[in-house]
Amino acid sequence: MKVIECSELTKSYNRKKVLNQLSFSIEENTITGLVGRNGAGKTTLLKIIAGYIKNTSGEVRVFSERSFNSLNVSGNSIFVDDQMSFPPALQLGELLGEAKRFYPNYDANLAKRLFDYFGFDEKAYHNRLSKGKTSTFNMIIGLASRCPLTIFDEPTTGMDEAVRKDFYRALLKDYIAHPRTIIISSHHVDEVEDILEDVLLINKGSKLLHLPIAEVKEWACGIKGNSETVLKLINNKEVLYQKEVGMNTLYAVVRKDSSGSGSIEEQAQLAGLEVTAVRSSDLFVHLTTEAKSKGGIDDVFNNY
Amino acid sequence: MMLLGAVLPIVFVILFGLFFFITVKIGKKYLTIKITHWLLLVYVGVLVLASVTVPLFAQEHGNIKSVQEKDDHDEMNDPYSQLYSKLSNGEVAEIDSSYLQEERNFEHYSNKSISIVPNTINGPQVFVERKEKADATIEVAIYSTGLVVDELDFSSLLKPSEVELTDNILTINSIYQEFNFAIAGNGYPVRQFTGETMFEHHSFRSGDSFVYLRIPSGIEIEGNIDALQLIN
Amino acid sequence: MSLTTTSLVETVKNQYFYKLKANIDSFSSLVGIQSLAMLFSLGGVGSSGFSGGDISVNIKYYSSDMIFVFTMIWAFITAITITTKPYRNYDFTFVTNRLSSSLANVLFLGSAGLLGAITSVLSGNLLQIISALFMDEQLYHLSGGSSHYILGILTTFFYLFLISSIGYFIGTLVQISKVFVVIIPVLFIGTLFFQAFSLKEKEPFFWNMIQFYTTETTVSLFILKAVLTTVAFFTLATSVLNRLEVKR
Repeated sequence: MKVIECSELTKSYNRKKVLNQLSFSIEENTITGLVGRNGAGKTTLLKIIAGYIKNTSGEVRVFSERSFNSLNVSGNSIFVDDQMSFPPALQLGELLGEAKRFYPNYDANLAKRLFDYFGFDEKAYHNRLSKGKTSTFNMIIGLASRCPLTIFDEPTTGMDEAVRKDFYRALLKDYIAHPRTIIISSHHVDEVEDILEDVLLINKGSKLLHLPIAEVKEWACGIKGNSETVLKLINNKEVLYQKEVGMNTLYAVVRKDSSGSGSIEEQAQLAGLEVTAVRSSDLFVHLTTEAKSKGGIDDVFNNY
Repeated sequence: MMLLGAVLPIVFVILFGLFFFITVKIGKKYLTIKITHWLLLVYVGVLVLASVTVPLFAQEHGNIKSVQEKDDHDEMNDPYSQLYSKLSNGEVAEIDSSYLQEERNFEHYSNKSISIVPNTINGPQVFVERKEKADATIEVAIYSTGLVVDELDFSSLLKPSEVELTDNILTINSIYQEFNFAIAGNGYPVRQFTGETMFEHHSFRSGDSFVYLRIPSGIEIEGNIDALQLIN
Repeated sequence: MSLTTTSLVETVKNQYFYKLKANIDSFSSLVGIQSLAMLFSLGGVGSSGFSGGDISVNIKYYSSDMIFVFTMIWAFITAITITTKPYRNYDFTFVTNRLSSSLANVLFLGSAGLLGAITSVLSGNLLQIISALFMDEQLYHLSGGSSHYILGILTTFFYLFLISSIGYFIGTLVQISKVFVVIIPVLFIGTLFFQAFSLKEKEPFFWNMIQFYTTETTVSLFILKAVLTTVAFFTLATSVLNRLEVKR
């Protein structure tokens, strides 16, 4: 069953298109990573899915309903980010109580255990929490609510290393015990990579990739070696990134292409070049970097 | 209505007692009792207490009653004019007894003459009737229109004018009286529907006083006769 | 995770109790504002007197009028407050749609109005006791009576509910566009001035509007007028809010 279906989804603010003709669908009980650069439209997309904001055109269906103003979508989904606003009059303990009342699948026991594990005080107030603590508390609500659709928008903002690891571990464990559809948007692709099943990469409001994470790893490869040899090899290939890494040595990231005479890896290996796997996070950076600056930030400084 | 008035405060107390009890009882279970809750409970509690006890503070007991004041501004029919015309015609028997403040007699009056000294500045209007008999008894009756403010009858608080007889001098003096009343009325939206007015059209009856003397025949009246009104 | 069907009634109920807790501070401000009004009323809300002959009478009038006015202001402000962005966002943290959020708001304002009405009517009594205890005056009741409590609470409630619906509507307009922050006062003051200068023997429009309610002496007709207006304002506000996005 498809939990989310978007077709030609467009959202514009003052004629500026934040989301542009976005079409994709997300299956039930999967963990999807929503990745993209700052300003790619990740948060806007998630808010449209959660029914917070209205799309300008196109269609979005969550649980086969239009999400904006749908009570069923709201009741079966939760949107967690560091901006989640809680009334300042309520203590953390009371906020957990409210979540229990609103979400039918809410697991008070899990919430309490996480709450204690992360050292929260029931009498504390949400608006006085530090950034990392805020994110941690919001995450607890998000996990314990056990919503069929759980959306985490940059859930680890401000968390320290240990808490982040704990969070992903908790998320995975709870997901395995209680499968549901989870979307996580994150900058830290390396961290989430291990728990993701699918990746949806968007850039400037458009979809670039929507693949299982395993395929992402096989999507491109890095080739390093003598510049001339490398250039010759990648001549008619889809080059995502290239960079001089030393005297007469070039590193290039090329999309794998099984068509034609053997895979690019084999060709490279035959030519005596070094073939490396590309980290997903690097791949996403390469994919979302403007064509004119394929050399990355170095270009800014190289060609004065 | 009287029954309702007596029962309602009790019902209120019971309801609010229940409310208080349930709030605290259930409250402990479902919500954290905070300062605001206490503030609210204490406030409501004080208000209810005040509402129950306010009749004790109000001086309604005693002779202060509500009277229905006719809102006609008919000069001939207001209490002052009525009283005045009846007294000046000697129709004492027709005067409603509620206007009578005090009656007293000076018996065994043996002087041949009497000097009546009224206080002409602030004092009461004095009427003098000659009795047909010489029974040596000077009858004094003090009437007052009563003090009524906004339908509340304060007449019982008025002290009657002083009438004193020493030798053959009858002095009539009024007592200066100052009243500070606090009148509590219904709050705004209630007055809209009861038609009460609180700040306009005040009705007053200002407590004017009259002294009616009956002097036995044969006693000569001396003194400032112009200040007296003689009944024929 | 199995899907659940979310019922509107259940959601409104949950939102309502959530709001009662979330907006608890509005109740402390009610206590504060009524105490302030009582303080102002201690000198009496009116006085009269006369002295004639040998009698001098001074009368001070005590009533909960000022408390009523202050409570009206409180209800108006409370209604505006809950239309503001943070308050709307609190709802969307948990389960809601715009309709359930608005309905819960109406219920909350109704409850606040009821509490405001009860306290406002009863606080008149506290005022009397304070004046009797601390002022050198003899206190008398003018009519009053317990049956007036019910009349007072009922009519005060409808006044408060009416003014909260107006506040809610104005607050909603401001949420669509901040232009209304300027437009509404300009309209209000503008009509007052315009009619004052137009040399016609006409009472200001707003004054007429107010009199439409304040001169009604039949309780049932007043309630009818108030309820119809209240429903109209809440319906308008709800339909406007129904299109508003959540931005945080």
